[in-house]
Amino acid sequence: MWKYIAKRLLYMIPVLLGVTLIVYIIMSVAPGDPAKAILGDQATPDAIEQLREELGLDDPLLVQYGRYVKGLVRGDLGISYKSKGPVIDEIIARVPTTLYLSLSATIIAVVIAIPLGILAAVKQNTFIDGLSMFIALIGISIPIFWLGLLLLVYFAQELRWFPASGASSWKHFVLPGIALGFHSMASIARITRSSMLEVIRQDYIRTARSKGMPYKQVITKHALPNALIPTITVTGLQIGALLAGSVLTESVFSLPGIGRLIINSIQGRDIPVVLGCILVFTLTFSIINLLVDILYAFVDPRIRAQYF
Amino acid sequence: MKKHVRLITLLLVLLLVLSALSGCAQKPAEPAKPADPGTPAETGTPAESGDTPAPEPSDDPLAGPAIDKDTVVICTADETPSLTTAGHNAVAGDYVNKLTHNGLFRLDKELNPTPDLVAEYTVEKDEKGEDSIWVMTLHEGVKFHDGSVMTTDDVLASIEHAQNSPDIRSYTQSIVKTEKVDDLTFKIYTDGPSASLLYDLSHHGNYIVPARQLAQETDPAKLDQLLNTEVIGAGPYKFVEWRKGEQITFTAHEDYFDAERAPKIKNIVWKIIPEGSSRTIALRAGDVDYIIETDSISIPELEADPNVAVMKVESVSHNWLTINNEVPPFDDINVRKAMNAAINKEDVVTVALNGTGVVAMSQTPTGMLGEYTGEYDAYDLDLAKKYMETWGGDPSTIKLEMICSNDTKARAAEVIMANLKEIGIESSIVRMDLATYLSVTAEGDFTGFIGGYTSNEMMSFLKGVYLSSNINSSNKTRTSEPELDELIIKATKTVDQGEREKVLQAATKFLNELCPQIPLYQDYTLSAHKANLKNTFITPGGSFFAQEWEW
Amino acid sequence: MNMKRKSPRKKGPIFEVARRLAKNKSAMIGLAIVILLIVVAVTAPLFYSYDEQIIKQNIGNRLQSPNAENLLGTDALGRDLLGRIIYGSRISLYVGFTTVAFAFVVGGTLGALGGYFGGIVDNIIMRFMDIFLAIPGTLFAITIAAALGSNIRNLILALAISSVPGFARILRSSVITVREVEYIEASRAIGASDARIILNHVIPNALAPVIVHTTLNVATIILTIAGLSFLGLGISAPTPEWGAMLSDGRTYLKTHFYMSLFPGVAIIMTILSLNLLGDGLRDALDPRLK
Repeated sequence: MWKYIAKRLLYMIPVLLGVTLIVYIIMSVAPGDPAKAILGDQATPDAIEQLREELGLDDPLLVQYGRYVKGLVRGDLGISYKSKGPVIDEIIARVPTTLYLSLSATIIAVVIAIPLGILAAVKQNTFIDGLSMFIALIGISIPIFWLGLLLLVYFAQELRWFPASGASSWKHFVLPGIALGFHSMASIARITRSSMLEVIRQDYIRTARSKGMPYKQVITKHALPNALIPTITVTGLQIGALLAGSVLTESVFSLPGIGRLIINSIQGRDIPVVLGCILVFTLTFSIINLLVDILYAFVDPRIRAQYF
Repeated sequence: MKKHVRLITLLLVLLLVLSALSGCAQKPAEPAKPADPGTPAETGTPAESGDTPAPEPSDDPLAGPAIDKDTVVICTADETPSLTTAGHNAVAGDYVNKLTHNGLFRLDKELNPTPDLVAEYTVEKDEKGEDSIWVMTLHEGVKFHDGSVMTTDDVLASIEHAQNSPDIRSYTQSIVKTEKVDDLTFKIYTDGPSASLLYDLSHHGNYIVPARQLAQETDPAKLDQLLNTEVIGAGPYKFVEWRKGEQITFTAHEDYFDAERAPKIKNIVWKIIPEGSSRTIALRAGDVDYIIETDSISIPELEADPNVAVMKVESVSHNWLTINNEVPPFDDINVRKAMNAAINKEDVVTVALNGTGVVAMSQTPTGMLGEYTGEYDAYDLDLAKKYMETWGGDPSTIKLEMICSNDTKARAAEVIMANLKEIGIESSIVRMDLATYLSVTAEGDFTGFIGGYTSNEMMSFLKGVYLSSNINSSNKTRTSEPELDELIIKATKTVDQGEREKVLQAATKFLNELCPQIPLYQDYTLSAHKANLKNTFITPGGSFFAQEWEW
Repeated sequence: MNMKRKSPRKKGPIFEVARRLAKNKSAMIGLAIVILLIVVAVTAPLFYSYDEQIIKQNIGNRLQSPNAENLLGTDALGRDLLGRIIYGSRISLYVGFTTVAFAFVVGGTLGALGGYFGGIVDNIIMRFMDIFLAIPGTLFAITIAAALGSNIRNLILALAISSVPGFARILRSSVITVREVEYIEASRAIGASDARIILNHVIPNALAPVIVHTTLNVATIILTIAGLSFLGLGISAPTPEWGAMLSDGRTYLKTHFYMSLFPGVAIIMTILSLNLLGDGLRDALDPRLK
């Protein structure tokens, strides 16, 4: 088991390096000079040249990338072109916001999705089933930013139940959490429903029922724990979608998180910050995938047998 | 399964109706349309905003909407890249620098330089008999935020630091040499008489920081980091905390040197809210007290709110359709003049700015010394066609690509596109992000773009936009006219205001006849604040003076 | 998930699938909407003149709420929203399908090659795909779109690149499952070439999951385009693209809500129908997965 985890963790290193290399190349060959982006409309050519030199932009691409990787090995994410401060500071300042946002989105998604999925499965092919799955479908179909705007107009602007911007209390994360979590909610509800259906048809459930156990108890005591495994997997996998969605959500709700940082940095050609953010996203994504796989291995004896 | 069909249709209809209702409820600020009578349009009337619930008490004095008389919460769209004075040239940073630092000079409300840290100054003649030696004396006992007293050493070190900083060093070009006389007096040498020195010294890049700090680090990157974290100036407000992406907090500098201009409100919370509509919501909900830049569409709504005061000031920011004068046929004056006469600038202002701006006709902005209006064509389609005839070419061969870097510019370009079609010119819009736009336009790799230039005074405007030596940087039309260059240089050496005004006007007259680009508009600076916040004022340059405000 | 069991009745597996699909009401609704959208998109030029009605401005008529003349109102330049939304379907569907086609060809080829040959070829391809899969797709598309600059071609490229790994994975696993089946061994035994085996046996058997993935992927792509346009990285004005229209409407959110409402509804309807159809197809192609 530990060998497996260690292997997976080791494998992350080349993947992450590959990611940084690809993003580095894309950002560097893209039109738009970081020095000009920083100095703006009124920059003089010699000022631009001086800044390019200070930032080391005149070196060949591979030399620049090599320098970046060398820093990375020492745990140094580099210096932001724009703020001229360490990239790590920029990121750490924004991690909590994105973390709270993802957390609130996940909580909202799970709290709605699991009951919805169970209900749909238990009442298969009824009105309730149809309604639940329709809500789930809407969740998949609605653009995050549009839902965000609707929530903003209704609950922040009209009713004033929640603030429209900022990130200083839990209240600030309710609307963004709904906007972002609604999409994941849909996927989780659907998988809960189908795994519940599968479990309900299993022999031991029938046995439990035939022994006269109340239906509700059968569902909560026997069916649910088994049906939840795929649910947890999907919830984990949804984190990737959440990370990408945070870019849009943070933009709609003016949240100071990583998503907004990466957009601003891409547009300002602040390459070290872009790479830093991508690394954070990718690392989180990879670790969650690993956790999901480990969880799966624990649950599924066939997979476990391969590694123990 | 049959139920599914009906159900889904039903729900879709329901969704539509619901959304439509929420849409109708949004219309209070709009003049009622006959199409939607009877909707509860009055639900959101402005009067409501008066009784917003009191802000929740919070343990963290920095968090939440701390609305009290000791604090003013300012909100703005853009976050400053840096709290240093010389490490950026961003408007968002300039606002913040004005709180924490000051310069030897500052621009007054009419944008004229006036002494700030300098108590008095005289100009002496050099050996050539030119007024090029500026002898200045600091106020006595100016205290930095760390308690130390400002001396000549701090001034000279700050100027030297600015000269080595790529971001702002163009604002040090008028300075040839500096020299210490005593602890409070120093000399600045310029290359002959200089009309721009005092403007340059008013720029945030030349604000004074302690020499002690500047000597602490030799590596420019490390020095920048130091200045960005230990923010020490002599300005009216002391830096407290910066939560990246969210807010910056300041507290009043008790020992501010100028008793008359000492800050009246104790704390400033500086919030970053990029979304325009969210800024409006925040102000009306009472979460913030002052919006630096209000989005134009919110103006009617805010004006209707008795608790809010809106300030509209015609800004000096001049916006235009820039055309590359080196690319045929745009090198032909008739083509440029035809395009100028064909564009309905009123429509551009209506669509791009929702009416919050004025049409620009001259090649240079109005609202500053040296402005000039005349020798240009107004919107006149027949005249435009006449110019096209004089040119004699086939308009359908003209290919104009308009680069736009934001939504406002794109809306302006959409209007222009339709206008130019009237005289047979086909154009297209290309969206680029700011970084690409800045590179492409500086390199001259374009036919056209919607752009602008903001400057507090005419000399630097003319230098930046039209001086031939600035081709490949800020002279984006790539205009190269020796006669014009001469006029601009002459202006910078003319210290007498009346004389300088004449030279500057001559330059604009020359430009209006040449028509290197197509002026579109000067937008309004739109700020809004709680009605009970007093003594607010914005200059045409967009600056405001937070230390004068009071509740 | 990717196991494909041959229908016991040899007569027309496609017919069998269609029959199952036709029995699924929600899938049929999805199909109907998708067909309607395609019809609207194709016939739009018959009802509207692109130059005269879709992109031509009419400043005097700007920001009109829905009324008899402009059923869905007009935008900031006085253009009819209904017409623009109808034309918007052309853009969304075009970009959606082109992107998927591109991603399918590239990703499918890579995946099929990896799956069929295994070993080092497979290893190289899949390690490369792992790198792309490690970056959340939308985020990657945003990075590419921002870096390349926004026009339709770059947008398709950005979205396609981020969709390639998905297709590669699916085809690879499909191919691996069918590779070892007896009849392929048999064809190999009688000396059929690799290319022939891939084309004649492997690909057809991998199609079921691909079709499902394609339908759902088009939906994802349309959503992503809208998101990119919302961030100002999408298709340039005056092209009527739903996401861009929605983004325009954001400025007028408080005063002219309909401007962002209708494009939003158009997006939802499209994605919804594609999802209904995709789910239906999955059930029809592989009834065990219901």
